[in-house]
Amino acid sequence: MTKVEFHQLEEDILRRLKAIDPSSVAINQPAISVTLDNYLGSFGLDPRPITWAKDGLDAVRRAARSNLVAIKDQLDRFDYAGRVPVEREAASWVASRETAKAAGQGEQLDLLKGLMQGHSVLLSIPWRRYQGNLTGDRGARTSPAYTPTWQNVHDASEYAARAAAECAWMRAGSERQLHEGFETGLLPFVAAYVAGLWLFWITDCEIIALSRPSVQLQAKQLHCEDGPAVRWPEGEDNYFYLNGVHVPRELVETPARELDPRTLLRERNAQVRREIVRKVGIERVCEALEARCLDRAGDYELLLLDLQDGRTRPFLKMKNPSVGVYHIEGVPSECQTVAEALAWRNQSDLPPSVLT
Amino acid sequence: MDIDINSGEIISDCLKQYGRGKLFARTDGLQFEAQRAALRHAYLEAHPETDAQRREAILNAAITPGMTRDQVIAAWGLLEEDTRTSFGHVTEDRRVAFAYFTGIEVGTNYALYFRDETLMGVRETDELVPPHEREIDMRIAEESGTFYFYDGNDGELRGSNVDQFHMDWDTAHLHLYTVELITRSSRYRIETHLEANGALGKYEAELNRLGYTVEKAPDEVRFPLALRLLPYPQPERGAQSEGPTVPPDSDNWRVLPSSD
Repeated sequence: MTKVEFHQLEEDILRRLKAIDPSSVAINQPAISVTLDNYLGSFGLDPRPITWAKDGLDAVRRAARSNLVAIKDQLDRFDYAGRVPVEREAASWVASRETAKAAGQGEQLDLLKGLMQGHSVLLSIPWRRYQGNLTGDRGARTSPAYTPTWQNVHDASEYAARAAAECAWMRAGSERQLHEGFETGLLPFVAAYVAGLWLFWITDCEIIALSRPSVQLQAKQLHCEDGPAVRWPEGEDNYFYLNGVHVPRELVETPARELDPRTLLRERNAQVRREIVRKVGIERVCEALEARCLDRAGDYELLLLDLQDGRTRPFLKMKNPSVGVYHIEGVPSECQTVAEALAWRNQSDLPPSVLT
Repeated sequence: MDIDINSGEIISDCLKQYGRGKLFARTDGLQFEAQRAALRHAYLEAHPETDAQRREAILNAAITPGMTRDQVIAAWGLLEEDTRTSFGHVTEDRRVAFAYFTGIEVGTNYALYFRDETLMGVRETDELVPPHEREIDMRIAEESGTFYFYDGNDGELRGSNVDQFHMDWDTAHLHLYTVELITRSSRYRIETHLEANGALGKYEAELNRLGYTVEKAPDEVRFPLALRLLPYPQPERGAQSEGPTVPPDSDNWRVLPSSD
């Protein structure tokens, strides 16, 4: 192929990925089946039936209980971060891959994949040593990303993005050699991803496949105000997001007027707290927690909030200029002024010019 | 085969609330023994606010989803010796712990699901979470104040007196903790600890009942038996952790004041 043809192919890939409607998923199973059969064939493996998981959790459960076939070590050698093949370090390859990822909502799916991988699990904890989230390790702890399930996952969105990156690589230089698996291991996954395939695992007797979920976006961020932002039509494993922040289901499904502003006091994640304030409204938060203003400076206020347990504590109220919403953050009891609270927050005497 | 445990699976099972609205009574015949009944009454005396329905369940040695872990202990009259071979897996999401335990000896085999300290579900099952293969070494190490254990990439087990994943800034950066290699316990060491805890006689008798002599018993018989007979060191550790191992200027440090 000539450079012009590679350019046209890359453009075509991007066009097809951009045309995907993230909110609806219609799976073209026959087309995907052909792609996967050819893919297996390129590794000398026989075709095998495809089992479609109903949702992310179902897919992970099935994969974890299967004998997975490890073929990824026959693919490219990647850098330490596992993102760029060692012989494809060129900026054109990286930029094109990222553009293709963004075009097909691959970035959001990567976030979702991180959630599906889950948290580490402390194994074989004695009943006597359970202390909630302060439970200490008892030797073994899982590292989700390094388990066989996630070491052997195949990602159609990633392969599709790499197909575009290969085109960029080929057209950006001369006397370059096309990836030997381009025709069977990368390019066909553009069509497969468009046809609804996201992740798959090859086992000794079947392929476990997971479709692209239905994804609700607002300003390119995962966001849905009245239900899950990520869901599989047949599944129960849903994910709730507000403005790109993964939040508890109750925060999304409870109408703002019924949300207890004191939820804020129990939430330790700063981004989730921001979304609680955004949804409930700063006025209701201040009213419910009987806020008393101790000091004010510019967009900042130092509030004394009633923690509803017999204590009052100072909180710094500030406006986040980048998203235009208010944010509340606990500060030490000793803080009596905005300046002191800012100094504690920033470990300096200077107020921040921009809060992020 | 990949036998990894997925945190999503644990959380999902916890949220299913198995056995919600049902009572699960202890049925091994020991439930109304004097010391266990005393445990029950002591709890109810200390917690007069316990609602009538739950109070009745506790008095009948029955648990139900929604109870606290302390209520479960009171209802089933769980003494330390009842839970020496109970193990579970623990994960967390947004600093909320999710866990399930099996192996509590109450007549029927149950898996108990917890969200923090609240019993979320009860499911009858014969599955057992096995102890770590070095559990006996860890229990012995606990007697010298080592309560946190980590598998190393070199195949060795290391122990610390401070939780390496939850420690305050000073402890982390002034290295106010110890880390030591946990050695494998010999038969003699285990028997010394059993003797110190007054359990050597029971140990020998039980081995004899199983058809072994103390000298000839295989490790796979010896270790589980020792685990059953060796009490957990007292007093139990308190919550040593004060905060995440992060510098004060990181995002994670800026948490709201804790409720305790």
